[in-house]
Amino acid sequence: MLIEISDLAKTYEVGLERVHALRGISLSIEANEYVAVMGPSGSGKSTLMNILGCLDTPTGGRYRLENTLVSSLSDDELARIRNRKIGFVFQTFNLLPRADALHNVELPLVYAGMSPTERRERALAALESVGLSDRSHHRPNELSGGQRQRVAIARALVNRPSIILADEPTGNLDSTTGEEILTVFRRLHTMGNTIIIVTHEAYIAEQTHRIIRLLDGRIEEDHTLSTSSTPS
Amino acid sequence: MMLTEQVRIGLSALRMNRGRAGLTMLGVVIGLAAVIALVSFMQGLNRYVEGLFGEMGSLTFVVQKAGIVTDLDAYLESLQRKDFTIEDANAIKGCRHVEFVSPTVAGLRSVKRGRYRAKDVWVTGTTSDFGLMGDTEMDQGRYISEVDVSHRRAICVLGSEVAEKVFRGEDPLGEWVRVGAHRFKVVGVEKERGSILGFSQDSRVAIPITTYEKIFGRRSDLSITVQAVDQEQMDLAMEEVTRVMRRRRGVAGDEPNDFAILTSDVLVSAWKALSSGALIALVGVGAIALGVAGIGIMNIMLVSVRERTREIGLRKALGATRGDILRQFLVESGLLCLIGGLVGVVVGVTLARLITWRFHFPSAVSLGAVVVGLFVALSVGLFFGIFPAGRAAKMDPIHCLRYE
Repeated sequence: MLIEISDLAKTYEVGLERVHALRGISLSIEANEYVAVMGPSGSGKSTLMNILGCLDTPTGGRYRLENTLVSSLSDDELARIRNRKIGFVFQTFNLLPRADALHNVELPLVYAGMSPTERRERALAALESVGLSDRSHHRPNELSGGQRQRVAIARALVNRPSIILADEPTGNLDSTTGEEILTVFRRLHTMGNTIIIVTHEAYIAEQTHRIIRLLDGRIEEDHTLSTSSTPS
Repeated sequence: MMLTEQVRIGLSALRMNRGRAGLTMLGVVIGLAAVIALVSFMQGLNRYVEGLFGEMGSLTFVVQKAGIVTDLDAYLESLQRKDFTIEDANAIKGCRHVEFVSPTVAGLRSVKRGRYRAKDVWVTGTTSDFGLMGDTEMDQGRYISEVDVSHRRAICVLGSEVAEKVFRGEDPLGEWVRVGAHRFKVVGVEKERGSILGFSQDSRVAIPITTYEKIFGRRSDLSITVQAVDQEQMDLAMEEVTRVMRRRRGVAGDEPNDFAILTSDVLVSAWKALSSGALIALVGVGAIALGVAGIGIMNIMLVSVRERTREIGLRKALGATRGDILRQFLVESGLLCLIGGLVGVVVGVTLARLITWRFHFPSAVSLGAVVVGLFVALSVGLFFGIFPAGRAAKMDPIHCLRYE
């Protein structure tokens, strides 16, 4: 099992108040699933994403990622897990504005301690896989929104992560470009990647093979669609 | 993560904010440039002084009331001492190991002839021996003679600059000038001696010491310059002179000398003590300047960390550890100061060279000062970068990524 979480809870202290963002969530995700996490704001989906992405640690329960119990790791150990096992795609792209596409894609490899030549090769291959090999020396402001998000996807892919976590990846794009990005995700899934998308758009969720709905910090519905999760 | 990678990131971050980085490093530049330039002058001066006293020769020494006074008590005590007189000089003349003896007194006066005038001329009352010692050479006429001294003649020997100023090319020999309010007949003009540290060595006039005392009164600052017969007899001459002076001044057998004997070695070491004190003061001022610059750097780094909150969040999300982020910002502030330091060194060295070239003030740029300066600049950057970098390292990636 790729992801195994049991009875996951997260409680924040806001002033004197205790906010229960997650109230006991259990689920497991296998390799090469294509999952959508849905829910209204305040349902806990961002918190769940942060914990799945090892950016945050739960206050209760367990999280196993590829048989590593990550719920009890230190900051720097989590950083290493994020570097090797997780690829992030953000709503706002989060590219370094002064660096060109190639350097942006190389960034995770820099922290993995890879040699410059190997980094370059891998980053160019990742850019090629999202169809941007001719834009490797363009800066983000010289690229369209869709191209920027594709650079971000290349960056998420470059370390060959166990999971790609996408948080509203089409939220800042028009519908045509959004569709283009979703096509990229579908292809990545076909190639064997595990993808988890957080979205509140039903039409996006419908493209995945499993929809997890959250409400008030609990799983309201975990629905695997008829099309199987195995690649066609 | 390798240092070269960090340096690359740091440089590109500084390039991003060129103007701000430039202004921030200005403090380091100015501080270091000033210290490097001043240290260069100090060292130039040191070498110069050593050369000067080396030239004065190890054959001569000076006997005077006070030695090199370093504290108030010693100064007050020296005021109580008995003055030296021309007779003391005559007594030294009898010493076996002594070749020349010359009592001298001196003061600043103006020299006039008609409407021409030379101000602040160093007027020395001395004897014929003075012309035989050291570097005094005649251009025209003669130096003071023994008869001039014994008859208290109103004659004078002009330094070349004084002669030029009050005679404007006319022949000075046999002419009369006024030194202060008194008339003196010119019997000789010295050869040009050049300048030391920008001060002319030719703005001087020599008159017989007896005449000096008659006109300007007896002076308590009379000193006696003595030249030994040769190098081997230098120590013997000093011992002999000490013995004679102790007897004349009535110093009892076990009491210390109530006078001082200055050799070039003594003067050089006194200068060194003085200049190393000045150097410490200089380093202190430099340290304050760099401290102030460091606070500015800390401030700017805090701003920079805040501005790049999202970048920090992103880097952490992609796998940067706390250490990676800490080093990134430390390298950046270190680079800021190191570049500032390099510019400061260039400016300081240029300044020193420029002043030496224009005003002939000696300077010697030492590699040691440059290396220490750069090292200190780098340390300032690292030290004042710790707090901002630590703050960046501790940031929570989730909050950073949401930061607008």
